[in-house]
Amino acid sequence: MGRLVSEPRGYKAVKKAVIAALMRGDYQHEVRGCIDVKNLLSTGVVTAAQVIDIIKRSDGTGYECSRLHRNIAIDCHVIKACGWYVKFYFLDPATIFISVHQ
Amino acid sequence: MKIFQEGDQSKAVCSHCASTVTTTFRRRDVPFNDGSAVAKNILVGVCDVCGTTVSIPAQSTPAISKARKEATESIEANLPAIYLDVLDYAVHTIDHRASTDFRRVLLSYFLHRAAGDAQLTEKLKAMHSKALLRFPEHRGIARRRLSMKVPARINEDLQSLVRRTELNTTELLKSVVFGIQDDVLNTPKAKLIEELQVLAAISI
Repeated sequence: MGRLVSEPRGYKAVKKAVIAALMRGDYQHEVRGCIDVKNLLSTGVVTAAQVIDIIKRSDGTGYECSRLHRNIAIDCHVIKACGWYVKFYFLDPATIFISVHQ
Repeated sequence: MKIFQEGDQSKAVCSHCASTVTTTFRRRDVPFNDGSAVAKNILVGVCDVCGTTVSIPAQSTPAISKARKEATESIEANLPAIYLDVLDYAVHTIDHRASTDFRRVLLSYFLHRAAGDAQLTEKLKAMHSKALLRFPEHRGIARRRLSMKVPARINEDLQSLVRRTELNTTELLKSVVFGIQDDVLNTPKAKLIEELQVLAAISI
């Protein structure tokens, strides 16, 4: 399966895109049949504004990008900052969070 | 704020199908993965291929938060720092990769076990004086706050133990931690450690 052309690439583009999605309130959370209690954004322990603040404070050194799944050509992004771990992917037009935890 | 309605479509990755799929938003009861509760009648994205719940829109968070709060209760105590040191060292000994949240799991395990066993309840009562002898509390001793969210059932276990041991929450937790020190650090039993290691592996 080919890579999706609309996916943001590189730390700066990814950071800008995920912040924009959070600001618009246009995002979803990945679930596998159950609500993952480790996703503190989905359970409302942290707000979108707090996650934006965490991501804004990141400087790229805590950024990692890897393939989401061996059969799926989608990038999985991890931003680590201020003791937080934020994991997500883009699937145009959706931004989907996998995990947001300390 | 993007608002979805039942019947709207989106896309997500379905772990069951191991592919990107189209999703349709529907209302479903969705359990939390720690088994603590079920968020009822929330809007979710359902895989159009296999019917698995694969996504949750941001708008469902308030209902999830409410279900989570209703299912959990707080245990708060201000303990001499040594007890937290012992507890964290026990966590580290069971599994050095365990998350800090395993402290909550470990205490819950011992509380639940003691609440269901009259002999262990008596043992906890007896352990309290031993704990105070081992860790004497002089004026100005360093203290640390223990605060954790536990399922309502574990809080019921704690309240039951408080009644039966006639110790308050803080004093009871000292006994529990002293018991953990015995069972995990001083005289570890292989079967118990194996069981706790499994819990550590599956805890988040």
